[in-house]
Amino acid sequence: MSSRTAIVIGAGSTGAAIAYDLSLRGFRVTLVERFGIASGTTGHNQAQLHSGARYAVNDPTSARECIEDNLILRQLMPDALELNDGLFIGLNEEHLAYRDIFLEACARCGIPARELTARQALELEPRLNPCLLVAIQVPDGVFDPYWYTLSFVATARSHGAKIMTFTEVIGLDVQAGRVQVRDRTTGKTYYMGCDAIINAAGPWVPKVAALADIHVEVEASAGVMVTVKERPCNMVINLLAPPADADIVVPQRQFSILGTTSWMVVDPDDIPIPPEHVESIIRQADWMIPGIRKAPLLSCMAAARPLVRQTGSSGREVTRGYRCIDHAQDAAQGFFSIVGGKATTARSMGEKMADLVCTRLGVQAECRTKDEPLLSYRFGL
Amino acid sequence: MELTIKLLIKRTSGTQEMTVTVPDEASVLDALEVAYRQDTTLVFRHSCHHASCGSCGMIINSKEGLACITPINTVVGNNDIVRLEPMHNFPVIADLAVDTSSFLSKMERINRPLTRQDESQISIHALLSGETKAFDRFENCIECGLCVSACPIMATSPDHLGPAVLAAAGRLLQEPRGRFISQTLAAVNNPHGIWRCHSVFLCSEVCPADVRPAEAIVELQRQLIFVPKGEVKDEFTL
Repeated sequence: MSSRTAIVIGAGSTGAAIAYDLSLRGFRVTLVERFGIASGTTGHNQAQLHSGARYAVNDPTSARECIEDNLILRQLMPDALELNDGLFIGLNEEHLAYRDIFLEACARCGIPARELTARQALELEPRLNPCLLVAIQVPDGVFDPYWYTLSFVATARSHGAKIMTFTEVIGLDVQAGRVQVRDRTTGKTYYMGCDAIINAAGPWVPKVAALADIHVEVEASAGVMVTVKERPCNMVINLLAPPADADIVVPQRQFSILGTTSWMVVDPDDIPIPPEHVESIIRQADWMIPGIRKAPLLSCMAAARPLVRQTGSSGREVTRGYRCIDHAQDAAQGFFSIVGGKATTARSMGEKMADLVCTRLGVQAECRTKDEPLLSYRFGL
Repeated sequence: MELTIKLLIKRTSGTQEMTVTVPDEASVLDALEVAYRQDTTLVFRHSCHHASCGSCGMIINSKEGLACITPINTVVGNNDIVRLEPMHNFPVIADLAVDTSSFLSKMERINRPLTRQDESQISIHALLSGETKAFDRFENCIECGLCVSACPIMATSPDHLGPAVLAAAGRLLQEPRGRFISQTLAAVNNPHGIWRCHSVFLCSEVCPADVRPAEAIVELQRQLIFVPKGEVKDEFTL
């Protein structure tokens, strides 16, 4: 066990999972967050627990990570998950032609996929478009992003982690291993020292890194989600096609989250919602589930995904994989950033980042997050 | 169309007036986020922005509500003013953020979430192992605390279990799924539980998730009226 100290910046699912992993390895962890838990990208999430099927064809690495974590979380975090499966539906010849490619890709990635006839699918989900030609059932699910993150936080805390919400990082002195914070509840500013600083601020990663004069590239890709007050389906409904805009309906509790879109934004704190995105999302959802447009509108929201920047691709083509950055490359020993990833893969992101931190600090400690049951979200506040 | 409104925010340091301009269809939470960009010392909770996480409960013009699903144009009056205060009956952390952890501990003592059974679905277990098993669905209650804030009993009796906790007990008794219910019955069938409720029904009025705690409490009172208080036997079933 290590007695090293780490400060993790950002209490979204990534930061919470890193804090959790490091605390299990014996680190004395402090998790700092400028708002409450899961108040950024994680909170504004379409809430789909991915099986990986969505990424199987074009992004198999992410797909494999999704199914691996999906299966682990089913065992370890049951009370933040709804295990209702997902259905990829084909409504035209183009979708039908995608079926074999999709099924083969799922098989290659180890994602259980079962083809249903249109009749079987409509029996399970009678509100689907009756023009349905084909449907494939996969182990998608729904999670509550807030409870999900709180569960990591609760378990980290039970292993000694200190959780500091409403605390904003305002300065980084990496050479001295110091983080300057402002307690937003009192206005007081002070310094905290540590052996490792981990920047897990999602789309705000560049802003935090800039405090240490370090440049990190992130594609801040915003997406609009529309929530309606009706639950017309049990399963998560996806279009059987390469990932595109407005092709998912996620039922959560008694309502449905429709989405999403993808465009680049500059400031993740200020994302205006384009009305035409809302219209196109509702129109397409109504094609998948006729009549859903008549459901009362509950809310429209937008958040920025912190994608890994790759030359030559943007938005939908960018991998949903993630990258752990050791800023020793920028002459900043003990400072790390993580970009990319998905809420579904938060656990393995935590594992990889903790592996990197342990290697650099010379700490010998195995990851235990694949077997350790997580505490209830109710202990996370 | 845009709206320019005055937010009167009850902060730890006193009431602050902030003028914000937002799209006509904006929520109270959207307006608060604009206010935050003007003054980054403002403290409030938010996460999901669609009434799932229950973290943005507050008092909006004297009534409990979730900021994320309250359209600002439904609460702004002729004077273009919207008053925001932290929820009642919880310790205030700062400004509009309160500490609901003691409420969540009470919930944990009574019931686990996720107990809705499915009608027709096949779960992952069936896919992986070939056997069919019921899947779980989130309970309606999002544990936001609005009912606790609205409850007049909670204001004077902090030991009262409160509406959401009692509703959770009612839910467990409806569908115990093989779990012992005696402890839960004993916990609610006492002076801090269902018999402390004065049937004011404000909890049901403010609930954003249609849990209707007051109705659940009345139903528990009806079922437990002849059961000695705090003396429920293990074998007791309704």
